[in-house]
Amino acid sequence: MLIFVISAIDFHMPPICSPIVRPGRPAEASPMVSKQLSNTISSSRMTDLKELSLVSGKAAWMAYLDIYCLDADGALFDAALLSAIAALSHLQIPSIAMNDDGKIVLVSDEDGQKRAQEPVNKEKRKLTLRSIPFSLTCILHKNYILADPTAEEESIMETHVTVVLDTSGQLISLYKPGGPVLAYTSAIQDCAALTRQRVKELNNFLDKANSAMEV
Amino acid sequence: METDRPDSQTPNQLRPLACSCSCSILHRSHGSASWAQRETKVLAAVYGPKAGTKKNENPKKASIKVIWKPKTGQIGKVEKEYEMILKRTLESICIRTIYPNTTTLVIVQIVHDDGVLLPCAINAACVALVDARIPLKHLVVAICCSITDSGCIILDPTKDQEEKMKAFINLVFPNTIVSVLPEGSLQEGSETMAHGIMTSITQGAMS
Repeated sequence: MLIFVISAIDFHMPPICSPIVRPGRPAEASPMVSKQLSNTISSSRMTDLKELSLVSGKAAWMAYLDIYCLDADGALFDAALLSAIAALSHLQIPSIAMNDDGKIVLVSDEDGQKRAQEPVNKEKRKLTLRSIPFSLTCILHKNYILADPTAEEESIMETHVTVVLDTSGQLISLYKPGGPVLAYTSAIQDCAALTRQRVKELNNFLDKANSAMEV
Repeated sequence: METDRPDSQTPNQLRPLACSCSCSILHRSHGSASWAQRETKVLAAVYGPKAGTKKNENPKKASIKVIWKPKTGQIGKVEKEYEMILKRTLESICIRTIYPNTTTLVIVQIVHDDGVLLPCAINAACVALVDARIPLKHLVVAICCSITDSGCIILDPTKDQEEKMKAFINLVFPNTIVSVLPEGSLQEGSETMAHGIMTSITQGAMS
């Protein structure tokens, strides 16, 4: 079941988003962000995969998550993770039923014609998200930490650290792909503190956006 | 805490290492290394420095190109990510100003995967660079730790143990030469240089 969610996460960088990206060949950063996203979402376990099961052992929902980058200006993973979480929290699972042949069909609102079918999902519902992960990318340079860098800042500096925490305070990911500056304990603690502050801000932002969208 | 491991190792015990690096492994490469941690085995080859750099690269510095070859099949997203991590880690340890406008090619071939694949590849690539006489600032040491549900830390898990664990983390540390450097130069602030993290990749939630 877990394989479905992982294999269906994709991050696209069309040529419109950056002068570096050329049409045809995939961008260099695209598989990096895709893999990091899959890793983060599977690590956080924010969705109960049993919710996606319809008939045990026979049918299940498969979620496709496609993220398109329209304007690449640094910290792509942070933007991708936030958009993925917002999309999952807005996801609606339709109501379905199983007919006599054992096939899954959509239930329409006309109750008269399809009363004989046994409903599996009786009404539309949303995914229940448990602890939600949020990320913050920082640049380390000597004794300085630069949070949420732009594309120009990212191209100049080489040491990036991405810390992902969830709303319950657990560390989901500590991602530092090389770089000349070494990350010591104090730097990691500072990055984690900045990320903790960011988690609160983004969580409030997401709650407000979801409330406004449902009205 | 006591944790029983199926291979009867202690929690902080590395699996047996087998490292061989000489030109007798691969004759045509400038440097090669074979690195095995029990069942996991990686073969690394280094070619170069060769003249010229590709576009999008900085010709004032030496550039490093990494090719990751899985045991079977095509390269997917996982291999692409490993390639990028390996490239950035090796760029950090090489002195790139000595040979400007050159490209060093590092090819990593996976022979067998029984967990701890990325640290094994980083160790093999580092030894291959030394064998090729590429100038380095320092060596790197890569390990993998996994964390059980009860919070116990196990060093160097196998693939079966990796799948049962709650979380694991791949870490790369620098390993400096101490014989020729003056005392105190290894310190940065209050911490030794060997305590700094160069690369960190985690999987799973931890607190």
